[in-house]
This record gives sequence, C-alpha cells and structure tokens, in this order.
Amino acid sequence: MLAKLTWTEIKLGLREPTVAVFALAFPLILLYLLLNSFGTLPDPDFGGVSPADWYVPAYAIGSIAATGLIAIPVHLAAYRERGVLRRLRASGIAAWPVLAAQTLVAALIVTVGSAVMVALGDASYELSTPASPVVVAAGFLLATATFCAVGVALASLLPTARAAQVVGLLLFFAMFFISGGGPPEAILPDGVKAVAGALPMAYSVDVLQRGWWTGDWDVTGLVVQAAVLVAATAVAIWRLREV
Amino acid sequence: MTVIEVAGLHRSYGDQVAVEDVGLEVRAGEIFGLLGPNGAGKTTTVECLQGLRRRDRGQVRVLGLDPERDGDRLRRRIGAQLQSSALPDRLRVGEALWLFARDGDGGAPLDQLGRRWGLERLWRRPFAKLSGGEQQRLFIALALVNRPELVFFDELTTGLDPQARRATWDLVCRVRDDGATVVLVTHFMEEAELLCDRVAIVDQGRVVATGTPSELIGRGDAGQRVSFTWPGADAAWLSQLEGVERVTRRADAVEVAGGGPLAVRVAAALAGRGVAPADFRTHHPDLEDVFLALTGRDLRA
Repeated sequence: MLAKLTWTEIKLGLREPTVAVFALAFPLILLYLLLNSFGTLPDPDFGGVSPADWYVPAYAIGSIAATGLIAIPVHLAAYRERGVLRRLRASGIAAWPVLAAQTLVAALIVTVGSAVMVALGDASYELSTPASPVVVAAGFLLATATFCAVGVALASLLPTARAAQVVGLLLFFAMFFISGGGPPEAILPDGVKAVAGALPMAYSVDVLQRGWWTGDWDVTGLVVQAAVLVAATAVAIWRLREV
Repeated sequence: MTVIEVAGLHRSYGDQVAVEDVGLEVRAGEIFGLLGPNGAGKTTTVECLQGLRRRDRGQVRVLGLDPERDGDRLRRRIGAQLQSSALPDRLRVGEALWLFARDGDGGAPLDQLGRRWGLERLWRRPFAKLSGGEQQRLFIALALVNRPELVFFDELTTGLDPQARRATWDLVCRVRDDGATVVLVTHFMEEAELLCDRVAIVDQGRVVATGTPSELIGRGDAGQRVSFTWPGADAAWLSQLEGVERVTRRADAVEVAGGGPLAVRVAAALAGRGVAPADFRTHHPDLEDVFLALTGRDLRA
C-alpha cells in the first residue's frame, strides 16, 4: 500500500509541482545570491569556515523546513478539507501510510534539492567535504522526520489548505532568517538569538553544521529535535483519529 | 442473518447532539434505507458504523466486529461511498481504481470493473474533469473494487439529474443482486420506496419507525384518501362507513379520508346506492406522508 501511495503521490506531484518547486527553488536561489555576495574565504563571522560551509548545510535544512512547514501542510490540509483522507480511510487505507507516503516524497524532494546545493557549493564556492558523513546523514534524516512531523501536525490542526498555507509560511519565515538562513549567528543581536534558540530550526542547522565542520554530534540539537518529533507525532495521532 | 446491530448509539459534536439514540438491525442481502431530512443524524450514524467516527456510547456490531476497535479489519470487508468526499483533482480514473484495489484479493480485474460501471472511456480522465454522475459512478466502482460484503451509499443521487438518478438506482440494485448487503442513506422518499427492502426513518437523531416501505405506509398513521365528483347530493352518510375518518366536500368534489381498505368500502357503498362517479380516484400515502404523520413535520421543510 505504501509503495502504491508513494508512486501515486509522485505522479500527482509531477502534475502539480508549484508548491514543491517553491520549496526547492526558493532556498536554492537565495543560496546562490548569498554565496555570490560573500565570496569563498573563511570568515570569523561564519565561525571561521567559508560562507559555503556555513550556508550549504543551513540551506539544506531550509529546504527541509520549507517542505515540512509549507508543502506538506498545504497538501494534507487540502486532503483533509476535501475528504480525501476520509475517502481513503473508508476504503481500508488508513491515514498513516498516506502520511508516510507524503514524508517519503518530501524526503525525495529535499534530497534532490540538497544535492543540487552541494553540487553548486562544490563546483564554485570551495565547499569542503563533510568531516563526518554519518553525522551529516543522520542530522539530515532527523531534521526531515522532525519537520515532516510538524507539517503533518499543522495539517491535522488547521481546517483548510488556505489556513495551512498562511500559518506554514509565517512559521517558516519566522524561523528561517534567524536560524542560519540569514546573517550568521555571531552577528545576530542577543534578543534575536534567544528567539532562534526557542525554535527548532536552529537546532537542526547546528547538528548539520557541526557534523559537516568537525564531525561531532551536537547532542542538544539531537535531543531538541527528537522531542519536537515526538510531540508533533503525538498531536497528529490524536487529531487524526477522525478524519 | 444479521449484518449490522446497533443499540443506543449516541454521538454529539460539542454541545450539539447529532445522534441521540439510534437502534437498528440490518439483515444480510437486503437494501436497508436510512431515511430522514438533512441534519437528522444519518451520516453520523453510518460513519460510526464504518468506524470513521467514534461513538460517545451505544453498542455497535458490524459483520460481527466493533467498528471502533477493529476498524481497519472491518473496513477491508466493506465498501463505502461517502457523502462529502473527493479524490485529488489530478488523479485519473484508472489510477484511482488501481490505488483502491487491494492486491491478491481475487477481485475482478480492473478493466472488467471499469466496463461494468461505464468508466472505460474515462480511464485517463482526471477526477476534477468528471461530471457529477461520472464521479458517482467512479465512487460506486471504488466502493465495490474489493468485492465487499457490505456497502454503504450516502446520498448517492443527491445533485444528479433525474436520468442519472434512475441509472444509479439500477446500479444499486445490481450491487444487491451480486450478493452484497446495502445500506442506503437518503432524504429522497421516492428513492427509499423504490429501492429499499426495509427502511428506518430517522428524525432528530432517533429512529422513529422501521419496516418495509409497505408496512410503514400501511400502518395507518398516514391516512388514505379517495376523491370523486358527486354534484348536489349529501355525502355526510359516508362518514358512517367503517374506517372513514373524515368526509369533506368542496363544491362538487367529495374527498373521503381514512384507513384500511378505504377505496373498496367507499366504492362498494357508492355502487350500492347506484352512484358511479367517472373520476373516482384513490390517493395512496407514500413515505413522505408517513414521515409527516410520525413527526408532524414535512420532510422537505
């Protein structure tokens, strides 16, 4: 069932690619502009690494957050609003494989997007090789699971696709530019740092950057994401008892 | 054999009670109608039966299972067309059937099913481009794709033109003839009378009557009427006849209302007096009159 649903979602996504294209193109274009502006030299403001080493992991998380916070809630809330989930459940297709299929498609999209960003950084902007591919891969997977779970929880809470779009965009932009996608942490004011510290995206970025630069596990980042993942999953399970 | 048993079913949304106290029993192989006006609690009831909604209280057994505890197992054995549901706009007819068909269940091959429900020419058409009648045909095919033992149809013909409605009625009969039990939710009296073997009339979250359409109509709550033209004469003596409740005269027209074999009694009495009106007419009550008699309210209100 999961394979059938995933294949169906991929086909539907290719027929109506607008949201996915936004989630892919928006971070990629910004990344390109930033890397062109900051050049390739290591910089103390970027913690002593090159702008590419700072921004490529941050924007990989950015594409994960955009997919999880915007694409998934809009898509799933529309399914809920129009009775697609009820239609499927009534025919013996439970909600969880539908959500799992969405998450798999989202993972596919962000993997493609991140691969393009890495290729861009590697080709022209002195992106270094990850110090620990294992930590980077784990951080990438955990961030994907976390933001997809948050997206599913949002879709389960919001009544319409339109509401999901507005809330998803707000949450995404509230986090993105202060959690690694904008100015580096070192030059952010303390108040803004405190806000970023209260939101999950900065932790995802920390795990990925640390793994990329030094190969160390950022335990705080892992624990915070795991907690968000569990909380969001619980909300989704609770809310999707009736669809 | 009993397929569905419900007793004391109750469900409310916040402080709004949708289903107050529903009890019913559906037997294998019949078309069972849930009949009532919009907002009577019919849809919530069948959603509880399918385990799509949780009940606040009451006993429910469907195919021997509790829909809330064994929902997934139950839903693999039932088919459903829901009142308000849709498919993704760009999902094509053939893809929908492929997606909903469980592998290795020995169900009919998809193209055979598509031919049977007249979908073969629409195979590559996206859901959003289907007409109302085509969507309903697809939903029926989806409900039947896994050869269910029990099928729920909720407001199947609402929004269809009369011709498509008649065609859909034929489809429902074919489903029953194939051996499945059918639960049909409707607010069309005509539909219930024509299709259903037995009917439960639902009003304000309660079942107010259950029986075959002719049982319900013949209960006598809803009176029969005969009318004829009989100029001049005094017709008041007709009210002495057994079963007659009311005789009214408007100009030359006489109307007699009552129960039992009213038409035969009145006709015989008239013939006994040598009166043979050319326009003697009987008005049989239908389920609409039954509903009015039971609830004091018009179904269409």
